[in-house]
Amino acid sequence: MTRSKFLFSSLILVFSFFAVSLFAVEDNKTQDKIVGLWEVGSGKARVKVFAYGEKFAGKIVWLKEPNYPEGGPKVDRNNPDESLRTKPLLGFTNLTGFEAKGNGKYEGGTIYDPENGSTYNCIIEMKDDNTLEVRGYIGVALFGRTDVWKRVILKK
Amino acid sequence: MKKIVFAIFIFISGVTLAQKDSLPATEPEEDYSQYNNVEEVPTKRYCSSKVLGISPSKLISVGFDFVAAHNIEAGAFDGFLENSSTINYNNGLRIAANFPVVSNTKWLLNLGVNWWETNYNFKDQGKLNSPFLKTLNDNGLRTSGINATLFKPFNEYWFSVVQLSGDFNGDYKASQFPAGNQVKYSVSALYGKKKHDRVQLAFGISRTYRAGAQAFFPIMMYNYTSPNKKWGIEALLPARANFRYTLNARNILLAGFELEGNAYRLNNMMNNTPNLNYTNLELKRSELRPRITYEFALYKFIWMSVQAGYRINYRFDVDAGDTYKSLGSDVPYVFENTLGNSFYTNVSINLVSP
Repeated sequence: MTRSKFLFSSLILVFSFFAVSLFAVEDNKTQDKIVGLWEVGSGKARVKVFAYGEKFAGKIVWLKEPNYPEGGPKVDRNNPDESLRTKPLLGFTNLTGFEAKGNGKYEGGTIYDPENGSTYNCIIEMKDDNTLEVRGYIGVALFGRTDVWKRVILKK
Repeated sequence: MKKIVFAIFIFISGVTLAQKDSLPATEPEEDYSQYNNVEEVPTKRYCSSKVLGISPSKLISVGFDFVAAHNIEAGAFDGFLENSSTINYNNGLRIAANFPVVSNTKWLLNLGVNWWETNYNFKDQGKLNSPFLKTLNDNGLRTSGINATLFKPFNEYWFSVVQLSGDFNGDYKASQFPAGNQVKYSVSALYGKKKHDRVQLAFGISRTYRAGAQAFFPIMMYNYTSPNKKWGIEALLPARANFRYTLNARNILLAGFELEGNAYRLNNMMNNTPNLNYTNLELKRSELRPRITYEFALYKFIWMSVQAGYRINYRFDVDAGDTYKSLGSDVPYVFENTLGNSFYTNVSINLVSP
């Protein structure tokens, strides 16, 4: 192989890689629509969904009632792991492990309910740009409960 | 040339290494107060079906009920004399499954199936003369059926609940198919308010067999959890009420009562008794069960429930047909029986709901 042929082949390879990467970026943009701030169905908490690698997670960033009636910020007092029961709920990562499956569906993740310290399998479906259906379930999706989350936008 | 190959290698490596799928070990510090100020998105909110801290609802339940020894005196009827005997024990499986087929913020629809049985073990089985006692001894009583519960919230506060159930109730054996004339159905409807996350109150009406005969009752649902979430009340009067004490999220103590009752078509008894002048005899059974229940998580969503209490007989009488009888009605039954009270226990293993 001559030097010019090798250079040409290398350039084709680099351009091809860029082209594939651009498609991947465009696809990621669609998948990343879930990223942002969401308010849970009861309106009592807001969850920030973020990407890590190719997966998505969410953490509690706002609570309507952040403190206990007797005083002090709310902590994860129902966690089965005693060592985590003093961890503040603000900043708590309650969604993890979601992978985009296309058509606005995110699967393979779990959701944690601080009210009872239980972790459930979870699937998320984006019904539109501003609505998420979050279904926590046990074993099979039939044994579950769906909550509808609405997107909220930070005031500038 | 080597530089070009090296550059491609670095580029690909960089892209590949960027695809990390693990959460950051330490959360970046954030000012959470920034999330107080958001642009309001007009959204209609709906109240959920449960109050905070309520005991977990059971998706699948497999239980065993046992009632200790007590006496029974069957009344005279149609040429048969009174017959007294002792029941060594009652026992039986109680299996139920509930499937939340629609579960979202606007609707909640549960479909369920259930199988309850009461087997009778008599002390003097060979000396029973009453065909009624014979059928209890030989066949026991069974209930198998389906039910549907619809919870419909209208907004953040107001909601309604409708419950329908259809059961085969009778003296059929586990190996027998129940008959169409053993079907009984019950309906309840409630309308109420969930003032906040820890209290809900609703009123309604129910067509039920809990008092034995078919009857209509006004009903009230009241669920409450204290601000510290340590104690609460779970009531659907007059069917049941419990005072709840929450030791922690995985251990709950309940003290209260349940009014259990149903009407059972006695087909086997009538078929096995020649020359009987009745073709539509039904047992009207109703009993009050004050009890203490301890519910606890065995493993994740598998919970165990251990219950002990006293079974107080309210009605164990036999009538002709599925007749309506108002509470306190003095219309006589075909024959009335006297059933002694006794201690009972119930143990169940349950898959509980999220």
